[in-house]
Amino acid sequence: MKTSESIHGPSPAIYTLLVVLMLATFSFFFEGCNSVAVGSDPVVVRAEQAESGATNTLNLIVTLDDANRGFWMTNAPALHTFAESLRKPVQIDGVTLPAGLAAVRSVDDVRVAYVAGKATSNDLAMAVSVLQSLLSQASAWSTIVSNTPNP
Amino acid sequence: MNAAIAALPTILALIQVAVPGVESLIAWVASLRASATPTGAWTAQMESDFLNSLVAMSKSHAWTPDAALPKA
Repeated sequence: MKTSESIHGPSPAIYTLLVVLMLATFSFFFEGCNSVAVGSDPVVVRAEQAESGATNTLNLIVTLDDANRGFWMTNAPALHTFAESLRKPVQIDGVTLPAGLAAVRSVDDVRVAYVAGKATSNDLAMAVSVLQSLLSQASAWSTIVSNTPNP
Repeated sequence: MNAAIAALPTILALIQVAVPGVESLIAWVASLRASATPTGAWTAQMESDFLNSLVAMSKSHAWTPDAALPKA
């Protein structure tokens, strides 16, 4: 016994699905190519991405904590401690900055040195990995905070 | 590059007052700094202004440690 598919071939819906899947695959690859432009140094681009992401996330954490410090101090003391560690003043480049901003700034200093040929790609990769670990911690906290009901 | 550098004072002024989206402005200035430093277009004055804008931003309430907040 023959089904309608074996007689007429796959239905048009299958073709549509295949086209959508192919477009999705192509867009995935093109998006991947776009993340590092031709001629850009991937190490520098990764550093820029880490700096930008870290500044965003660290600022988000301190702003969220600041919105209701008393609540977080009581209900999520570890978050408040983390935010306070980001606010801790440290000296960098002759000025006093909060530790969170100083961490981003120090990666930026290494990036500038690398672009100027005064630091190796290993130096920059190391600095970025340290910032990435801070960013991972901050991202985890931002997820927890976003899902915690608060006044 | 020149147009970007011409816009720098305005961008730094916005960073100082920590406008919403300040993180993107900092990232933009950092990117400009990295590309302009090797060519010498990034001057010591710009470096100082950038640092000062970061310091000013860090004095916002959100970045102030508990110990430095005024007692209620």
